[in-house]
Amino acid sequence: MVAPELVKAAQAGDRDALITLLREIEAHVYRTAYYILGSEQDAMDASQEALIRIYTKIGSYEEKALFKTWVQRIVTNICIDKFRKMKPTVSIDEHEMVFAASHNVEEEIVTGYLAKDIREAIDKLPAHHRSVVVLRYLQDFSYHEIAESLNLPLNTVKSYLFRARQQLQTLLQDYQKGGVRG
Amino acid sequence: MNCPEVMELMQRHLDEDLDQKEEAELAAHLQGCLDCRLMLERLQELSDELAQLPKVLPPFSLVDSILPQLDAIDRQASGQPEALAALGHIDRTETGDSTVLPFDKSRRERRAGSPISWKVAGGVVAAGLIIGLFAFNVNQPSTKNADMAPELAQPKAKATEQRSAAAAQQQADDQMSIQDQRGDDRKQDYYENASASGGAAVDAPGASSDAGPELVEPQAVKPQASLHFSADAPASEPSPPGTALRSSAGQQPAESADGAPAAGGTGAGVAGGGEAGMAGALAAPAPAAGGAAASGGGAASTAPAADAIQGLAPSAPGDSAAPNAADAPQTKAGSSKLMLGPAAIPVLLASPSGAYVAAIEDRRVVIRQAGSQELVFASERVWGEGAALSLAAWSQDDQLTYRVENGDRTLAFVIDVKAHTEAEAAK
Repeated sequence: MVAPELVKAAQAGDRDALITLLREIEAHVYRTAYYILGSEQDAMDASQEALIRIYTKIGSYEEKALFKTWVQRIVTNICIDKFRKMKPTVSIDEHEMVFAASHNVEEEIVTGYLAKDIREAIDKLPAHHRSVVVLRYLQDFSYHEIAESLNLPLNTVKSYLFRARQQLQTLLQDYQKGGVRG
Repeated sequence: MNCPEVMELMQRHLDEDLDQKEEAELAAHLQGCLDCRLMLERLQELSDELAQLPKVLPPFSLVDSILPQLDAIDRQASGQPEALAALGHIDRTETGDSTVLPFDKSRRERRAGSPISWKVAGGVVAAGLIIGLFAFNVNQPSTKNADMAPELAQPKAKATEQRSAAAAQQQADDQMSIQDQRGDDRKQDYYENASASGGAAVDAPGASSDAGPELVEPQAVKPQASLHFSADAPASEPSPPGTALRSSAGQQPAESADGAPAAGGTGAGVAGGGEAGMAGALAAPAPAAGGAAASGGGAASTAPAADAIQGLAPSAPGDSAAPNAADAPQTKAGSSKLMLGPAAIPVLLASPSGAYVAAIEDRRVVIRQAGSQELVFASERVWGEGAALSLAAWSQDDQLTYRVENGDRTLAFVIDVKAHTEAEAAK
């Protein structure tokens, strides 16, 4: 995704190269943050923080890791930190109210359900499980790349991913039974 | 092989991690086990859906938004003292609660996920209702919303309004959060918008190619459509709802947010138009809108409501704001102060020559041609949520001074339009 020469130039102190590099990765950084944190606003904050950190720490990147996993490690760390600090802000009641309202609005748009249900299901996963799913599906990372990004053993990555998928599958099945999904 | 063991094979199968032998084992088990077959089917479906989640993109260029901070970091590294101060000013660069300008087309084209446009929409709607409500009380207009106004003109109207405004906004936000997920692959649009050429990026949202976005479009447009009302009703100030707009030129104290004093100003502002009440037909009010409307009564505004309101609505044709900006004698007001509130307000300041109009868009100052709305200059300084931007004054030779209040510090910058430069003003 990012040319190694660009990374080298950026590390050597070429500011333009570094800015170019940040532009190339910003969408990837944002996407991860968006799906881990679940809101655009938090995702913007986290990705700006991540990009600034990458800007200042580019010198500490070592080639033994893939650049993309190094980047994702920075952004997932920031997100997981933020995630832990976030307290649940809505009560169950409020949540259900919002839920019902948005469904009414959405009624005509049948295909709108799908991604929304999945998003809601993802939001119910614990932070690390969620991160694994995001890296697997939104960044298309292999088990190994996920392990490198999250600094977790390979087996842990697999067990998180498998458990997450099982849980998501169960949640979505519940939605279906509840008649929410078409 | 038992079913729990097969689960791992199925999971790895989804990730294409099985070798031939394992695939064969899995197939053999599935042959004789309906439960596992169904489970794999569901998992496969889930996996496919996960793979198709929208590849969301940031609503504007993140790198552009942090450039000032990166500059500050560099300056700090090289030991200049103002570096830290600069960092402090832009500690949060984000989209929420920012300023939206009447002719900011890029806002509309942008991903629907941004909460701002909804806040503005809610605010616009709110202002409309306030105007309509007061107009009804003052003028007894024989308008179409006559049957609606009395209902709101109750002693408790204010409380009701607040709630309904909040509800309207929440609903808007909810809708947006759904669309967040669908805002797939509009990269093209984003980047055009991010380049600050608000005037240029007018291409249809339909340009997005994937399945997701098109399906969402109708919905995105629907709520905005309600803002197209009052096509020919004269109204006051195009200025915006949900926030307090103060004009420092010594007109009426418009900042009164409690509605009562505002009633006079609004009444005066709309008295000429018998149909003004119609402006409120679809609206749901917010208290602060009273302040905004009041300033219209005193300060500046002759713009027809069609321009005014459409200009504010994110979905309105951007051009409609042009005559508005040019005609309204806003320069007389001297300087307009922008308070960044829960909703955003447009602030415009025309140059003495009439050639340019300065505005605050996306938390930074931009300058457009007065007639064509073509973008002439966009400041590279994008400010955070805590900063209050105000357009101070134009000099005779087309230099714009604007101020930024951030915490307890106030900074001033001068933009030289002709030279396309911007610099911090000497203290």
